[in-house]
Amino acid sequence: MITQRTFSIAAMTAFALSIIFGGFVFGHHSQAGFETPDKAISMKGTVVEFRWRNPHILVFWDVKDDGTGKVVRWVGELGSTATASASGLTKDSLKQGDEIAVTAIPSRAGTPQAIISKLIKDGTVLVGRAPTAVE
Amino acid sequence: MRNSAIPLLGILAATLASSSVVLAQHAPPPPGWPLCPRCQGPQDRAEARAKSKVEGHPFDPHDLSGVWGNNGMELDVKNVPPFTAWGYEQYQATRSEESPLGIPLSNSKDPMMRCDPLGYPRLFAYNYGFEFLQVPDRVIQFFEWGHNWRTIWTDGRKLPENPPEPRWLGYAVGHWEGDTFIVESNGYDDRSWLTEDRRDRRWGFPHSDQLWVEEKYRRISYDTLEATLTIIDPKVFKKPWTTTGKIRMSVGTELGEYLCVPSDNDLFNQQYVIPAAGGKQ
Repeated sequence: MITQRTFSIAAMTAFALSIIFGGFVFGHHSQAGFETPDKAISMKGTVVEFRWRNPHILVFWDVKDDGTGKVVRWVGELGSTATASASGLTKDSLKQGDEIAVTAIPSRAGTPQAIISKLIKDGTVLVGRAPTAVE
Repeated sequence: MRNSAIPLLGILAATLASSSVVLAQHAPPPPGWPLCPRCQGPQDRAEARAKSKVEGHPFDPHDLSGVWGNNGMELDVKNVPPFTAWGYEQYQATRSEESPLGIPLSNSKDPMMRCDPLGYPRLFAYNYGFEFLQVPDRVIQFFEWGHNWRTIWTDGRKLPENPPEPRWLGYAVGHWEGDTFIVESNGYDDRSWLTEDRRDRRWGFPHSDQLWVEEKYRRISYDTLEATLTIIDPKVFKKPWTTTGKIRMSVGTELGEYLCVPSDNDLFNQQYVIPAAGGKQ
């Protein structure tokens, strides 16, 4: 279920995580099509695909609205494979069917594309990028 | 707000440092296989530097060999020289397209978004790390971005006055003046950008076929290169554009393989960049 809310705590959490882990570097393309970090949203979903490729890694996951039963497929962006691996991710970090919690900065167009700022699987923080570090 | 955030950040950092978070460090590489420059996390970097005893390490100022940097040295966009009228026209033509919703389609005019070669000096500004390899009659510069290289000839030849064919990475010759290695280059293909405009990433800085680049490299310590790059392009800029900075050696690394793969890039644009702006997939 999507818990969409403007948040400050989540942004600060991501910031704190970035202090510990460093952040991904988004050097390949402009972020002009995405909201500002204070409009990040949080949601839970199921991984459909973990595409460990350049220019940037993509995560596809389904989110089901418990009220309507409608499923929305989200696409989230991480850094390049090199910068992601520097933060400890590997090509095997996620697989189809994994249950994840994601905090992400959505597109300005309101579409289900987003920059992932935090991703948790099985209680482990796999991604904890600072939203303010978007390059 | 700011006052309340500070203790919260401290609590979060302390909590997370002792929680189940496991990704503070890179996954171990295969034995005998160093990480790529951008694959090193802060801890990997610190360990490699300590192991190589970088501080105070002796060095030969005429030896530039090694892997340098992990991203590139961005051009000095705070001191962009004034454009000529023609140059400004070219600059405006680089502006990103917009979706029907009026949202920029990323930096859509950027040749990089199509996997075109970055060219030079864009590979100075953005390279994911480079390596100098010195042999008697040339210096070869390998770039991780695009898995590409250029040859800087040191055999005494002169730059062609009228380059027979434009090159993405130009024609380059080098010589030493004291402890400074000087590289001059020309003959560039004008389809590349000098760099994207990071003041607002909807534009890029163009150049013409008259582009002339001068670089100076001086090794001031074992792990530090002092670099100056000057762009002279009278068709685009009214004055030379100079960028100066330091490039650190990426100790304990070797170049990896970053290839811009057109099919992967197309998929990325179609499934992510374009729909994010409200465009059709």
